[in-house]
Amino acid sequence: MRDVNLSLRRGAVALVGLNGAGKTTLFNLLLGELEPTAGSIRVLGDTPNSRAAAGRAGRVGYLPQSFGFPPGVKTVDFVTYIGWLHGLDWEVSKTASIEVLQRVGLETRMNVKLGELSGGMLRRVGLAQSFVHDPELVLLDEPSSGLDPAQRVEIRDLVVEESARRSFLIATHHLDDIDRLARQVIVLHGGTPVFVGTPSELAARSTGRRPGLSAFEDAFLEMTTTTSSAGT
Amino acid sequence: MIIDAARHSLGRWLVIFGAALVLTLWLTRPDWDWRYEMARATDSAGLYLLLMLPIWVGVAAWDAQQMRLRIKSFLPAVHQPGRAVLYTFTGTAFWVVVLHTVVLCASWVTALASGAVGHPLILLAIVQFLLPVGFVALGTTIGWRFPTPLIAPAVAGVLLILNVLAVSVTNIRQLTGLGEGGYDYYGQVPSRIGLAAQGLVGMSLISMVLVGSRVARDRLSPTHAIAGIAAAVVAFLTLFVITPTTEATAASANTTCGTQRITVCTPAEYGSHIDVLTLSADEVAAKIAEMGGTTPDRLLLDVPGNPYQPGEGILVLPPAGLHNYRQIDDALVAAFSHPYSCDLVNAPTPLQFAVYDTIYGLIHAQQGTVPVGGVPRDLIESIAVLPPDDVSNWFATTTAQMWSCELEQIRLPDGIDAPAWLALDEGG
Repeated sequence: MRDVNLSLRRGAVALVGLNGAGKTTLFNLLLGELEPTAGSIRVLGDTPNSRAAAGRAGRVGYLPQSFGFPPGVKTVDFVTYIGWLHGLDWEVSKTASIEVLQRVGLETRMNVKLGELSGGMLRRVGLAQSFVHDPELVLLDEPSSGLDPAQRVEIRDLVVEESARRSFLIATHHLDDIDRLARQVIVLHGGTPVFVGTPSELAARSTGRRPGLSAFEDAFLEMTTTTSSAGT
Repeated sequence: MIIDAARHSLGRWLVIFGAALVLTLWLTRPDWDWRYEMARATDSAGLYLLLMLPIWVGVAAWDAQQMRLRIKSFLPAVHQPGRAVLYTFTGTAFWVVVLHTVVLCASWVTALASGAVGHPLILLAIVQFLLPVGFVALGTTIGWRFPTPLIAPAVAGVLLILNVLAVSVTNIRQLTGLGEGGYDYYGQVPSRIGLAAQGLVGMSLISMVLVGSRVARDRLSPTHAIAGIAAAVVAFLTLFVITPTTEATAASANTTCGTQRITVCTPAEYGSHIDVLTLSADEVAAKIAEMGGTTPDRLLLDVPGNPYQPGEGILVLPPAGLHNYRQIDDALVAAFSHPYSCDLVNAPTPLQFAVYDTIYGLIHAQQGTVPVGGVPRDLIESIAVLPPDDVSNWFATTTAQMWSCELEQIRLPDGIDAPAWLALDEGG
């Protein structure tokens, strides 16, 4: 990534871009998995992976795009376990797990083993574990990846509801969702932010040259294609 | 947390396996007596450890690599990733503790019943826990660091080979404690230095995971992992360098004596047997007195390194009889007819043995009991037809010679010729 100079607003922020645009790399930088070769990053005021960040438990939650899970573990136990890894006491984490699982609509599946859940339910479990420790910021990497339209809407609505409590940075390919989902949109292309603004500002960039596409899709393709052409 | 962790550990299946293994060991090695001898009981557990340590390491490695693979995508965001290692370790270690409690509880009950609390044998039992749990820590660390399914059989196989080598070609065999099952352990205690060395190994391995988990809070770096493994290697090498031994030493200072007519002395651990032994010894001594014979006034359960010298009127009782209450009486008759304490310095001749066995048979005949050991029936039948006074005089003289260790003066009664088989033995 290069020439990245971003200041994210509180609330839900959508991160869109073509495959390879740098979305996952940006997440890894924010999580401290990668170190920037130049410049600096601050998440909630701390440099990721710093001693200061390590000393402040559970300020960031994360839902990876694809994740494994121990199939023999009960849903509530798994979320409890992740909360415990975030620094909560076991019993506190268990109480929090029950609460977040209820919020994501899995109250009847708490004692079901993960291996017996559907793909949509597993995504909800993933979402629940990402904020079981009540973080200020949650990073969601393609939260509706692999879901059918109904499940995608469910996840989107859950995020919208939860964004009243905490900030989200959501990497997504579903442009149609962003006006419902986010207060701010970042378009990444070639490792560089080519747009930062509100969903309505993104829609305003539409030229209408691509019939049949939504304003978001048209604006997005306009930016990424134009920039790509300009780059070459 | 521990229960939840244990529920998800593969180790839960090994409780069944371990119990079956213990049962098999118990049934197939009846000479490994678990009832009386703490040292021998834990020694018996040595074979169990030899087999189980590699299995535990493999299970721990498997659990760790499985968990690592399944949650690795969540780890970048969590605040204390080291807890993930701790969780896996706790799950497997829980079952190790459960299983080893079952294995060793018979020994513990015996030790506690004999008042051996605080005794080094308790330390031995603790080591028997530290080692397996320590090796679980080792397996967890390796499995977490190298998350591939092949790591479990690989690390288990390597450890099994190392165990076999350690037992067969080094002097750290006490690490697994394979024993001979003989009497040498009676009244003995293990070496504190050897136990401390074993404890060091166990603690090093456990510490490796605990410290490693802490280190992992700021991400588990290869450097830290290598340093942890290096610490464990150093702990093992220490064992080779200082060549510790848990070889038992005599515990004569712990001898406990009864206060009845015949004083029975045993190692402290066998103090509960004194009353039974005294009662039986008095009965046998009374029969010998009826026959005109004499007996020593002190009976000592055989203890290597005992402080008494042969010829001091001490009768040494081989402890084999204690293994079976039904044989205690016969063991006492054998003890009163065979001066083992003198044998320590005087190799008995076939004639002397024949006399001992004859007296053994005569005492049984007087008691109306059946000898367990063989007796020279031809000699006993020949003596039975002699005048009673002659038999009584010979009996009194011979038993006195036995307990004063004048064994070279022992003869058959006048008028009894040595049988042909004895002459053949003498000639041979």
